[in-house]
Amino acid sequence: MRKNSTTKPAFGIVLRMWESKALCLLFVLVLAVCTGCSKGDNSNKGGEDNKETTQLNAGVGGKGNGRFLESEVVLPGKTGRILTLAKLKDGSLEVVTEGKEEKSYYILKSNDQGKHWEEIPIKGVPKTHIPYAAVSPDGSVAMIPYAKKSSLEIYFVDAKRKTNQFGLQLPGNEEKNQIRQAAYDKKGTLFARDLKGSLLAVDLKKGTCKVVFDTNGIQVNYFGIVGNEMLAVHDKGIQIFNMEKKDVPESEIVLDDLIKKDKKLASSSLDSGAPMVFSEGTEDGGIVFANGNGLFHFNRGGSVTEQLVDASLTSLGSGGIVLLDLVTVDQNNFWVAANDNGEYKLLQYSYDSNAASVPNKEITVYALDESSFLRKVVNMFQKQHPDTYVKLEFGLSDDDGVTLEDALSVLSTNILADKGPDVLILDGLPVDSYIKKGILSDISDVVEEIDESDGLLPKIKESSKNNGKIYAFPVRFLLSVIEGDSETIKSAGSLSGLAERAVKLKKGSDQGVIPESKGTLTLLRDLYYADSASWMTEDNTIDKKALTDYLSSAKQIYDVDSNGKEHDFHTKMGSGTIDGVKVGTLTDSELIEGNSKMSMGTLVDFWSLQNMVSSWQLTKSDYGLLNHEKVKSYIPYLSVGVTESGNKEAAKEFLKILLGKKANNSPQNGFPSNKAAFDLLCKEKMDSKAVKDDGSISFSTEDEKNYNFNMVNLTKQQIDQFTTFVESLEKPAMDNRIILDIVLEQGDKLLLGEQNLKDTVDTILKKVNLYLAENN
Amino acid sequence: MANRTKRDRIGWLFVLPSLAGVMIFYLVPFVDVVRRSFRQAVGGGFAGLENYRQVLLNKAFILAIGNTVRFVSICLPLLLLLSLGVALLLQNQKRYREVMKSAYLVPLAIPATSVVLLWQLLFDNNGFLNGIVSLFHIESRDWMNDGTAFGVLVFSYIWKNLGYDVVLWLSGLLGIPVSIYEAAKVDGAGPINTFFYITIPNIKPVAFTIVILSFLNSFKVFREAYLVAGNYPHESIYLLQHVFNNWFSELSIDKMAAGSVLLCTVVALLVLLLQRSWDKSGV
Repeated sequence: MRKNSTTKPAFGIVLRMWESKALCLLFVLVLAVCTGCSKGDNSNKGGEDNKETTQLNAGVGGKGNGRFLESEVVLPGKTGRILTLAKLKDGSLEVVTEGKEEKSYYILKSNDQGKHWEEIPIKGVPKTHIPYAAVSPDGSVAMIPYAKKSSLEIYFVDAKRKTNQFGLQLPGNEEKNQIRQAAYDKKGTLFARDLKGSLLAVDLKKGTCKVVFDTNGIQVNYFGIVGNEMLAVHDKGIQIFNMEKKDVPESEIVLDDLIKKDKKLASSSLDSGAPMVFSEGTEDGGIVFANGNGLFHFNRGGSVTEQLVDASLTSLGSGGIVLLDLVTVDQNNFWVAANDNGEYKLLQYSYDSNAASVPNKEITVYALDESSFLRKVVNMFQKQHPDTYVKLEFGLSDDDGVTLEDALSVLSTNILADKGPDVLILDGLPVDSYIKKGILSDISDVVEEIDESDGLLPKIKESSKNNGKIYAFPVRFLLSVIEGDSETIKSAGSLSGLAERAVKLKKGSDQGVIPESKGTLTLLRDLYYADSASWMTEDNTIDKKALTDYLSSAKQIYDVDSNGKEHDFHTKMGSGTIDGVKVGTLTDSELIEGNSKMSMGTLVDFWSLQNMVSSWQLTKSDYGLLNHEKVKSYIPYLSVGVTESGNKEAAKEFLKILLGKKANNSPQNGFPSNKAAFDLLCKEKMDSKAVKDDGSISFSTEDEKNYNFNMVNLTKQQIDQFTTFVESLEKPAMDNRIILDIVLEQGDKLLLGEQNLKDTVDTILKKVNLYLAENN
Repeated sequence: MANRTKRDRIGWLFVLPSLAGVMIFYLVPFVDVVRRSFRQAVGGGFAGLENYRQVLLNKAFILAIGNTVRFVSICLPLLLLLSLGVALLLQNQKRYREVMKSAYLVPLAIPATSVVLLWQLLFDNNGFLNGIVSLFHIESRDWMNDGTAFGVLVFSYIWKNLGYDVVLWLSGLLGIPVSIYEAAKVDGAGPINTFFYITIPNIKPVAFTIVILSFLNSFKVFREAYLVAGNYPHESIYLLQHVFNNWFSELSIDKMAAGSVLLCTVVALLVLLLQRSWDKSGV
């Protein structure tokens, strides 16, 4: 009895304790789950998950002051191309440049960190192109031109600025060899890398050079000298040679991993520079390096890289930058010589203790595809708005196997969670659906502002209107053209006319008519872009007759030369984009070789136009708009929109730069919708000195036939004709990737003979109309 | 009375973690779905019944509803009858019963991606099935892109779920005491009478579970259909999950929410009706 009377209450207490503990545990669990689901502001705003990098001075969300700021060093007026930059023993800085007047070279010397420059003309060097130069610690300069076979003359300008000439024999007497990079070490020994990727020590007085480091047969792509060590970058990582011991190379895990993760960093150095440059750190064993991701410091043997400068906030992140040299002036001052998209610059990174450590505003720019053009514009915006951090996101990438559906789902989730982008690049996105749902805001005000200041191509502006408002505007555009004889161009006013012409040309001829590169998907896509603008009916369905005509013409054209189409450009290139550029599928080579009698496809930019016109020296061809009798359409590229829920003010500021003349004066990545930029590029292509440097284009075929033509400037007549074509473009081609994918998938079966025309049309209509019905 | 309360408390304690999980991951989000079904997709403005109106007039949704109903109404009876038939055959087969049970469960163990690969090898234009068909001089066809796609989907569902249902039926069948069958046999009952008067009444409680599980499994067939034929398959196998999936990609969260509420209501009503009819029949 006693037992019972004591046990029961005890059990009750234990039970209550268990209950309360269990409830507490449950509460903690629920709290943990809820916390895990909460928004949180500690996400990596840079979008990078690099555990080995600590960002000290970049990225939104940090506190306090102090940041490295970028400024451009102003060099004397005559300066054009920069060959090299170096810090001398006495602490002064020396730059070797090529003057704007061609083939004249200068040494620029500054004893006060770039405030004043002494400009010293280099005498005694021939007026030829000299690609490389190296500055020794005492200020003497080695000017290194191209070699003839494997021997060359090096022009050595000593510290007293007297020029001596030294003959030099490179390894490989009978073979062609060249020096591809050169640099002095601390002791004044000249090191070079040759065409084979060997590392050489050069003895100018003896006129000899010898392979100085054994790289175990690995071809070195570029190198840097830091203190007593040479850092040699190859395809798989980095080897570090001690210049004094000259023994077995060491590796450096941090740099090795960096190169393995980003293969672009291992790419071979060009005449104009390398993807990464090195300099001595301010601490013993410290190395500073710069690349397209920023400026970094780390200590040899350490495991952590310290990011001094975030590339996205500076010119380093402009996408097209190639680096020449990096100099550590002092611990708060670094200089980088670079070729930024063809423009040579001397960039200074100085620590400003008063600058906000991080920009206090942020906008997100989203695009499905990687785009170097967009990177450049982000960089321009960043420099003009140092208080705003631009986070650039690309939904699709070649590396991680993300599908279009995955990318769209992630984007939808972010928009619904109010974490969506502020600026949307709408290429491939369901624009109509976004407009209908009120995701996009009206950008007419910005478009009108740009139209007033620079002008915009009127028909492109007009065709972008949706009930009087503009929600999406193509920053750039491409166009579908046909190249061939005048009869072909005349016939190509419609796809059916082109098909008839192709059949006629083939009759009684063994020669090819259609370029071999037009495999099923490439051909279908080219013709889709030329024709799809006319497919949509007023009741938001696909016009059956238009689709039937398109497929029937495509089949007819494909069948003309259906044999031997092994190379499908589209298939090879996956989604049909490279670096954000819709592939210009217009190729002249087969016309030149005589393997085809016409060429059709997408004309992608002014460079392609110039290339096409230049090739007419051999082909005597002409060109015209493809399918222009049916619809004069353009292919929108970088269609931009601003989200309603985002930071509209900052987003529209970004838009102004994106649509502006300065951002659009690039001759690559599409034609600009900005009229001022368009006119400027037209003018440049008519009267460009650069054309001389563009030189000539040569290629040889498998049967060893060689073809060569010089690049030429466009004539006024050619520019006028092109402008007329552009100004006549009325409607955008359908750029909805879901519809395009359905058409390509089914069209492929038709062209390969696996499905008849009727079934193909029916299947496409059912699928596309189903897609359209979902959103009605 | 006090003891009962304490027992109830302990019971709740054990149920709580699972209940919390269901609340956090299912019920609370579903309440949000209901809320969103009355609001605009972006901006969250009140939309009243507009989303429901749009969904009920949407051709794609109607097609998907039709296909899903058709699929369920064909597959469910077919699967239940076939699996019951096989289970009855195995009921008296003592020697190979275990081996056969395992064999029937193999399709369930194959990952969806492997099944998809198998489908592609079988039903592709240049696949095995067309190879066999061509031996008989019959024209090859794109099985997944014409009227046969629905048949392929039904076949796949039956193939995958048959074993599972057989095992469930068997567990019910083996739970019936042998003595009842023996007594019936002594009384002169034949196999048909035994089936209708002994087997059927005794497996009714299991049948309810099997019907519900098979019904819910029928929605999972979308995974295979999606992996083989993508977002826009042949119209005969365009199911409700296709619509929801595509609506999400296109940010039509409003329509998606309204559609989900409608679907959930219909499924819940069906389950309740089923339960009621079961209850009425005294199970």
